[in-house]
Amino acid sequence: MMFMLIALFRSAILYVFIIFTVRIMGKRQIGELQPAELVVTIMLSEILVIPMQDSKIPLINTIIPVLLVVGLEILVSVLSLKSVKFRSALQGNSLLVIRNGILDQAQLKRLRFSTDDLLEALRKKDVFDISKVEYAMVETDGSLSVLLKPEEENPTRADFKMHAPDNGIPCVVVSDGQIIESDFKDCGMTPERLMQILTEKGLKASCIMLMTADKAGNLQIIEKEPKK
Amino acid sequence: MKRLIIAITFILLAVLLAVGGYFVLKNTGETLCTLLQEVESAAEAGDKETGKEKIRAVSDYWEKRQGFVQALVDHSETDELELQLRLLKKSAESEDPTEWIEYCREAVSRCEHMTNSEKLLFGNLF
Repeated sequence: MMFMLIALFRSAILYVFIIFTVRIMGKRQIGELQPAELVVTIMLSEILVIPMQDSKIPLINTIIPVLLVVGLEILVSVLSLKSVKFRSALQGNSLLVIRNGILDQAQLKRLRFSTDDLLEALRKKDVFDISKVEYAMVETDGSLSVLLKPEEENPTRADFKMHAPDNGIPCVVVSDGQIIESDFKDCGMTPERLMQILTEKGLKASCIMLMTADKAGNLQIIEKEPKK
Repeated sequence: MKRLIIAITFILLAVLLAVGGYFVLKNTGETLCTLLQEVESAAEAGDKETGKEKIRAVSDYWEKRQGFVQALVDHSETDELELQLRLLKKSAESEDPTEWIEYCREAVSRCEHMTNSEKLLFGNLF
């Protein structure tokens, strides 16, 4: 029984500790993993799992490496921001693999990228013909960025000199019955205006699942489904 | 700048915990070994009263430091050392100093092993 309680408390402590340290590391580490960040993430998960299962290992043996790894990771990311040389040494550089529709075979070899890998990455970008590509670049995280030849690009409003109104980003005004006032200023909403809209529509905020608004005054309201 | 300060704080905290832990363990191990060796010397000299007094001193010292030591090293190692120290404490009730010597030697070897395993040595590193 005691071992189970110890395991329970140790897991809770480690959970809080890792959430805190990952939060400190920043969002970038979670969203787009560079090679070094991938290594850090795997290391952290390994370091934390072992003492969760084995109560004979003191927690300090986990806390010290986690603090050190996270500290070094933040330090490296700060240095990467400050120094271009350090960044390129750590993360490498983006490399052009297609130029004017022509494959750069030397770069492909250097990247150990097969033509199949390249074609697959292109297809994921909805490009099925290499000759349509002006430039293709393998980014430092291994993804492929593609710029099509001008004649292959889709026309935009700018090409036709068409004006598009800027409605801003639709922001959430009510979510699951809760009024989200923090986003009000992004869509020009006020509590009074919201109350007016709700009164006009004969609705209560607590009956709304989702309500969004934009700067132009466009509203989208999804009411909650009645409870069965 | 804020992130840099956090990074340096984390690294310093890790280093302080590691170095501090090492010295706490080293001092505890050395003091415990010294006390145990004093018990052994008293037992070898046949001085039972001093021996019993020293055994009490060993028990008291271990009770005070056990929490710290347990937080720093593998718990199985401290469990083994604690078992030896309990046996030594129990043996103090008997009037046979040869038993004390046996338990003292075993406890000293466990204590030395515990502190040696934390030393920054080539073998321990790899």
